[in-house]
This record gives sequence, structure tokens and C-alpha cells, in this order.
Amino acid sequence: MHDRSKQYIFLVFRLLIGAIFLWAGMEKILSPFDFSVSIYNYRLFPEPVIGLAAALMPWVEAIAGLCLLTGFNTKGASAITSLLLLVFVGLIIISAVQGLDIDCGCFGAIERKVGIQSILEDFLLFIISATVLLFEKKPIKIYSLFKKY
Amino acid sequence: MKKISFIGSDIVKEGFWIVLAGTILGVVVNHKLIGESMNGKLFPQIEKEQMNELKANADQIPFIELKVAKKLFNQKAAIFVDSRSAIDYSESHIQDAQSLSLISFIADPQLADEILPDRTALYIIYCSGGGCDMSVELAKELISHGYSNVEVLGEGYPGWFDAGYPVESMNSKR
Repeated sequence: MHDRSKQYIFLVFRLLIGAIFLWAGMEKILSPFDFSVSIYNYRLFPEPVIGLAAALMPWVEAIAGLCLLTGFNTKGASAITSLLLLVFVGLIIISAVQGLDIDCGCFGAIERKVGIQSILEDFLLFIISATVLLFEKKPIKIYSLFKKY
Repeated sequence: MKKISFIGSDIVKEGFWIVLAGTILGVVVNHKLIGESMNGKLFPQIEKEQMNELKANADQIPFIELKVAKKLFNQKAAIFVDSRSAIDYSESHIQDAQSLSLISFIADPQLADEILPDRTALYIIYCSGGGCDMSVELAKELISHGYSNVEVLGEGYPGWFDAGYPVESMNSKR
């Protein structure tokens, strides 16, 4: 495949992951307490960890999403999104094994129950994110698309 | 090899700035939430919120307070029903509680006749606390099947356990 075509495929992947993370981060930024409830429901973490995660993670998600959308710091941003998605998959698997009937809380207000569907969805997003991390060489900056106009 | 280590350092550098920026913004905006979690005030807030939500969605199902439930337990005036999965029940449950999971009841409602034969007795249904609605759902089902005296213990098994009240598992009692 031509290099330019590859770049556009990576751009689509990046925009997808970036948009999802920016949106999910903003949702959680607007209601950090609700996010802390989602983490609490996993019944895996002590109170200070839940407080810190609910306070900090949404901002990291949103900034990583913004970076992927704009084309800046894409390696670091895709590493973070890949890692987070891997953590989500792991948590959902643990909860599904325990038989917990809870909302996964991965993407803010969207209700996604812990189960095989959410595992597969997040794993697919992880593959897309990891593809950007490992194979995108020259990320297209979003403003460069408008330069010619 | 050189290329891989170069990419690696880029990843770490870029990732660091993103995490640092997110951490600074998160601390500035949510310092109150962090403080509450450090001082042990977050969990009580979450549990209160979940209990309110559970009660709001419970229609007319009555809730029983933990202390009242314990009094009835001491007097052997109520039958406790564990609506969690059979696995959770076998791990640990309120002492002398009967196991009737919501899932097994829905699959076979006649199970209730075997496990809870007296339809006029006082049944206290519980599950895993405020974040869990299986107790409310089972209570609704039992009432619709003619059980006249059904109440829900909103704090569930975790609340009972944390209060130091008697629990038992397949192998031990507390």
C-alpha cells in the first residue's frame, strides 16, 4: 500500500481513538463523583486510589484524546490510550469472572455492562490504538489538512 | 535496535508530559474529591448516594434499617434471603440466611416454594449493598408471587459484615 494511503488509515484510527477518549474524558471531568462510583463498584481498590483515579484519569484521557486528534505527541498519547484500554479490558474480565452486574464506567455516561461485548469492544479499540502506537511513522497534523485551502 | 530505543524514549517523554499536565489539572480542579478520599469521607458519600438511588427505583418496596434487621435476627423473627449468586453465597453470607438468587428465581419461580414455603413469614432480602439492585428485584418478584411480608436490607451483605454481625461460610462462622 502507498505510504500516503497508510498515513490516512492511521489518521482515521487516530481520530477515532482521539475522539472517543476526548469525549469520555470530558464526560468524566464534568462528573468526577459519578466516575468514582463506577470505580468503587469494581470493589477492587482502596478509597485513596479511587479518589486519585477519579480526579486525575479523566484529564489524562482528555489530553491524550486531544493529542491524537490534533497530531501532537501521538506516540505518548497512543501509549497512554493503549495502556488504559488494556487496563479496562483486564478490569472488565476480572469483574465478569466475579459475576458483578455493574456498569463498566469506561466511557462516562454511556451505559455498558461488564460482559463479553464490552471486553471485545475495548479489545478492538486497544488493537486500533496499539496499531497507531507501533506503526504510524509520520503522523498527519490535523491543521495540515486545511493548509491547501 | 537504535530505532526502537528512539521510539521508546519518545513514547516516555511525550507520555510523561501528558500525564503531568493531566495530573496538574486534575489536582487543581478536583482537590476536594482527593481530600475526601484521603480522609475516608468518599466511601460513605458513595454508599449514601447509591442507597438513595436504590430506594428511588424501588417503587413501594419497604427497606429495613440495619439495626432493626439485627434485632429481628437476634429474635429469630425474620428469615434472611441472599439474592446474590450461589457462588457468592457459598463464599460467605449472613448467618442462617437462605440462598435464592434472582437469576435462579427467574429461571424457576417454583424454587421459592421449596426454599421459602411460608408466604406470610417476614423475609429480609439482601445482596451486595447499595450498588446492587438484585435484592429489590427479588423482593418485587416475591411480592408479585403472593409473599406478603418482604423487606429489603439496603446495606446488604457488606453493611452487615462491616457492622461485625454474624456471618458464615461453608467452612466457618463469625
